[in-house]
Amino acid sequence: MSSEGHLFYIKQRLDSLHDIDSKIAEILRNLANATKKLREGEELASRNEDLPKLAEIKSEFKHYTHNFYENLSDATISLRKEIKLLDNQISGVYHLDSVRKREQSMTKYEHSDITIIPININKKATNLANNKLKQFIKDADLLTDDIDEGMKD
Amino acid sequence: MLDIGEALLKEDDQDQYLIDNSKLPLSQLIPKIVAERGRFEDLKEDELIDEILENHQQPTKETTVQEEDQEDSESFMKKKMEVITAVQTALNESSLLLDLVSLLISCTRPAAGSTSMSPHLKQHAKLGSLNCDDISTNGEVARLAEENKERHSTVGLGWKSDALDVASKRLLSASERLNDEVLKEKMYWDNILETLEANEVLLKLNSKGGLSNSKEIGVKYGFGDSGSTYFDRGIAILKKGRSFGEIHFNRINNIQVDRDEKVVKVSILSKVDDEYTLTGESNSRNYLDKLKNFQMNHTSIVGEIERARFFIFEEEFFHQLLKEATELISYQVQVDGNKIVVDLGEEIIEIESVLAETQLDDNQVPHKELSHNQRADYITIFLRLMLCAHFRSNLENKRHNPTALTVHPPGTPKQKVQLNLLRPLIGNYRHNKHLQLLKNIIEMLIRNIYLDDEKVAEIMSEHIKLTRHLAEPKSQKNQDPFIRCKTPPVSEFLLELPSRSGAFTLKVIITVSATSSFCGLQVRLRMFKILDKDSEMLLDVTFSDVRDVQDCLSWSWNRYL
Repeated sequence: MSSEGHLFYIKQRLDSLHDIDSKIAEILRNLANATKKLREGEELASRNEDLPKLAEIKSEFKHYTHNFYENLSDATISLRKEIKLLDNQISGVYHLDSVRKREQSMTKYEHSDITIIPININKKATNLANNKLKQFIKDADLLTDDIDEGMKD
Repeated sequence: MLDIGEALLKEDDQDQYLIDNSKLPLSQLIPKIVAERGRFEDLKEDELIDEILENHQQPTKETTVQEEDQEDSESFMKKKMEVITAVQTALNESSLLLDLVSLLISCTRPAAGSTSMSPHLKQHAKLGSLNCDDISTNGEVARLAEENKERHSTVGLGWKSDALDVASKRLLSASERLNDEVLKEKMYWDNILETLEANEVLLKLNSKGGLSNSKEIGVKYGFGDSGSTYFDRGIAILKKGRSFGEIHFNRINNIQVDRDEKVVKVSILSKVDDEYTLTGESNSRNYLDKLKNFQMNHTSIVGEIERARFFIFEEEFFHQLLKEATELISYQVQVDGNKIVVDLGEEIIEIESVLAETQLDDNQVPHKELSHNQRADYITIFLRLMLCAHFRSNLENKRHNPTALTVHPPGTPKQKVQLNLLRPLIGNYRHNKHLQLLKNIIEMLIRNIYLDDEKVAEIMSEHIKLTRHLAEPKSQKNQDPFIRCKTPPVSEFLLELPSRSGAFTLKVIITVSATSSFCGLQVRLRMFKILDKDSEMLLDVTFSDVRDVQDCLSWSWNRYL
């Protein structure tokens, strides 16, 4: 499992979760619009006038309810998918499907790898001092370069 | 019913509650008269006569009314009978109506119907045998009902549309609120992802304090995991901002200390005319500028982590320097407030921790060009490198294979890596000084013995060999680049002096080494007499002072050469 692939995978999950979030917000907005159209339609229908407008409102209402159901089903389905992915990472179920999917999506990351373990492990930041060391060595190199140039002059 | 009516009529004739004055006993009558009329003194005969006359008139009136009543009694009785018959018919009709209603009700609710039904009807009619239907009313009533219905329906419609309106508005506002939340969440996670992409180590943390005891994401910005033993392990919480979902970098401190952003600065003071003057200063602005550039080129959170990392390093750096300096007091290292003063004889190295802002304030005053600036820079870099190396060896020390508990009793103290920041610096400085001193002594002594400038020059150039860095194990050299700094310096003078007669050569080996604390001096002097191929050891002594070596050399050379 490469770190790059891992990052890519995390990014994918985050994006997908964000999509679900926005879909839920969208559901509410569709519902709001649908009720608004319903009210307008009722008003026109009770007065029994302006029939073309009524037809238009009816089609809009249909459009919004359609969107509402579509978003609802999309959100539930993708949420289920996310949960399944999470579950796979806990139990490490090796699915033929996931292998096929991996080949299709061309990602290096193994979707059925166990990456979540039931115990709490904290990653250790062991490389920080080494990075600092390298940085200082670079600084020292720069200083000595100055000298070399000075000597050349 | 009839009896009650008669009783009422009788009561009208005589009021049983009216009190008859003549029947009262005298003891009650007199106070009553007094209460009604006042004192007897005030009573006057005329008034009493008048009153009595009045009282006599009233009864005469009553008697006339009674006479009239008796005259009308015949017609009264007739009226009474009329009333009684009317009441009776009403009673009859109402009971009939009750029976009808009961019979009707008994269709749907037999129990309720049968209780109020008269026994006569119960005998002759079956329960639920009567039914009814709506009768459509025509004309005025029907029109009114229609109007009412219409009015009610319009009110209902209004309510309905109003409710729909409110529902729509609420849903819309909820959706907007949710959308804002989603954006915040997105921003937060984007920031987290950025920190992850910058190769920072994230960890789960339980957020303490505040109302919520929620899990938070933390970041390890310090060196606690990579070998540092500083009290602050350098862990910060990445908190989500309430208003925009932006990320906040909150350090976790076990001890509340005011954190000033400080950098370590090294200055060199040289002795000129018995007075120390500043001849070099390390350039800490260099680092700060680099930090600023880093923050400019990276997102705020990554920059902030880097900044915190820089300052926690500087903080620990000075802390460790101070700790080491307090142990080196016998080697002319003093800790003066927030300043470490290393006295090296001709020079003083001052190490202090200064506020970063003051260094940046020097914008107007450019970094002073001093002769030893570069050396000061070298010293800072060297000390910093040594701290990094210390971290590394600490970490390597931890990386032992776990030993079986049965073999070693638990709690065996691990060998702690000694902190060597200042020691190698001072030790090597002193070592070089000692070498120089010894070389001068040797030259002087040789001059004293041979007295010939040419010969002296020849010996000095050809027969004296100085080998340095003997302590470094050759095999390890490739593994640890810091081995030269971690081991006390050892150097060796090898002298091959021909005797004045030329019969033999005297081989002198002077090994100059520092004690394990780097700063002490140890000189081992060995002397061999080499004749043809046989060698005979003459001397093997160890000194801890250069002057003693000088005495010994001058004595032995005078004797043997």
